[in-house]
Amino acid sequence: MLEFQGPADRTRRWTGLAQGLPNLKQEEWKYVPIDALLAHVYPQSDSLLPLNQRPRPENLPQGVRYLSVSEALAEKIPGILKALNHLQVAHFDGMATRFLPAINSEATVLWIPASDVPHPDIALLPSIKQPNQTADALLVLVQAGAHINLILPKEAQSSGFSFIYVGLEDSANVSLHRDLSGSDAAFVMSHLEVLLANAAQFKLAQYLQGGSAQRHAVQAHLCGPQSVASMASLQFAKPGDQLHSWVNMVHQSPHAESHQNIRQLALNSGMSSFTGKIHVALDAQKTQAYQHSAAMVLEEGGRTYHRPVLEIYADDVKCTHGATTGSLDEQALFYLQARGIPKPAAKRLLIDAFIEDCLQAFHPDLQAALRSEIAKSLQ
Amino acid sequence: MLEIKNLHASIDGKPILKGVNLRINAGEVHAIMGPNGSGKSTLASIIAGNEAYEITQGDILFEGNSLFDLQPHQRAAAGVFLAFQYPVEIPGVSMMNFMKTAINEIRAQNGLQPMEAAAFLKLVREKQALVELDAKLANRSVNQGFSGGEKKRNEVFQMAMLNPTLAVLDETDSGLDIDALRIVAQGVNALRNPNNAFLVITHYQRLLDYIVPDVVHVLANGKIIKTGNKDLALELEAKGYDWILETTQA
Repeated sequence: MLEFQGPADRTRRWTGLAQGLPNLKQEEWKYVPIDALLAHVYPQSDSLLPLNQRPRPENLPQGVRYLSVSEALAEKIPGILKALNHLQVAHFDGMATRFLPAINSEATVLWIPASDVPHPDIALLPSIKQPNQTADALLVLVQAGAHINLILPKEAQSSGFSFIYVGLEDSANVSLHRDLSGSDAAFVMSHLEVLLANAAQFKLAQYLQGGSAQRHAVQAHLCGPQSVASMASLQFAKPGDQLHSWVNMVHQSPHAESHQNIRQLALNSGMSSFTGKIHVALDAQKTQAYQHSAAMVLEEGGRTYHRPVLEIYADDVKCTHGATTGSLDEQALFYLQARGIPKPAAKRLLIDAFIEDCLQAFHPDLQAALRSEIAKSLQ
Repeated sequence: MLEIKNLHASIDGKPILKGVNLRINAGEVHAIMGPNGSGKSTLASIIAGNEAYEITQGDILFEGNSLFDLQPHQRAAAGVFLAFQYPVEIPGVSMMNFMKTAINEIRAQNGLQPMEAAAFLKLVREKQALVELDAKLANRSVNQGFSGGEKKRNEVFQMAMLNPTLAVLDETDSGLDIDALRIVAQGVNALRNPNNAFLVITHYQRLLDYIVPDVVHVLANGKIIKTGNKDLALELEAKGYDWILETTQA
């Protein structure tokens, strides 16, 4: 387990961060304002900062546990050692490595027991931010056959770094719905690490909007045959926003499947980027991996980027990727107007159509809230 | 109902219409024929309010008011309809949502309450039957994956739904086989009444066998160079456009 080595370690890490970028490949960070990162997310300190704690969610379903890592270790709760072992060996992107010692000792554990019927939805609460504390970590351990929807509302209201690990045992099925609507001054980062066993299914729907800058990394390891990981990311960059998502679908087992479906919208001076990786290991034959990223620049000055990366070592796989960028179709706008629909409503109709496919991936409650938030922002 | 006065228009500085004059009364069907590039579709687009064109001179009066004072959606609410030569595909916008939005926006602009869902569905079924439009198409995105004939039938379906006072049909017959042409014409004829008018743009006389015009105009080089009755269309079919261009130049 990684241990914090005291102030000298802090200084070493800080120096490393300032000199180079905390990533495997520097270009993936080229859009991110590092000064803001240093100031807000990784403040210089003489000691390791404790993690913020997420309050216990209300009305947890029967059998679901919510406890600290040390409690989980003491009780030898199934899945905890596997999770901590993975965190030690995994190749992390960005900030996660910096917080690993704290994650290993202070993370919160949400343990979902096996069940023949789907568990009721769980709405998690944002962590309580303390002064000078900027990070929180959650380990979600989902037992074989369990089926659950997890909702994370308003995760990006203040500057900070969130780490989430989701470990799915055989045939477990988890849908994670994240509302990453940031407040204007927030600098928000996160890393989501997912481990899928045989026939496990993981669905992620995330909505990014607002904040001075946001960067969210997702890394899913498809370790079992018939496992499926799907991700829908809706990124709406309003003026001044910087939104970045980074995804790595790591196919380690044969016969697994992954989907990445991204929609980006950018208003004047808003910027959104997506880096999507598909990594297929040598023996991950019969992999199916799909990536589609589409962007619409709504106003002059808006910017969107796509960066597909395919790293394929197996020779019997089906992997596709596609990226499109455009503006509102003037002919379609005129067509709608010619049928009596005023220009603002016609624009809304076209934008709604563009994001609908992605919005459908969200939990119905969140979907309604997002629709109204997007409508408000477009007024 | 419609009066076009000395209309001049250009696109990217290139003059397209060079003094079009036209008057259409309620209850009339006018046909505009003409060679490629004569300005027929430009005229249709300008009537509907396409901002891609610059109006350099003239006016279009609709029921006494200048259409240039109205934006495209306001023209539609006033009763102007354009059946597009190339209907636009709009992925993700369902036909039903599109039609419902269009009808209710027009009703709102005319001070009416939104149409009740049951009344809307009844109207959809009735008008689909009129143009023999496959009901399944209503569940698809606007014009997406429609065949050429289905797109044109869909234009007439929309016209029937919106029940305009003036309908401009821009080469609605292009790409249609004989049966589809008959069905489209049947839809148009069913909508004809003494209070509305049609401006039918076409290359061929064939459509006018089904939609019999009261007046036929020939548009060439941005101007109406000849006006006559339905026999003019037959004459053009027999002799071609060169004949009339030579005649008018002489």
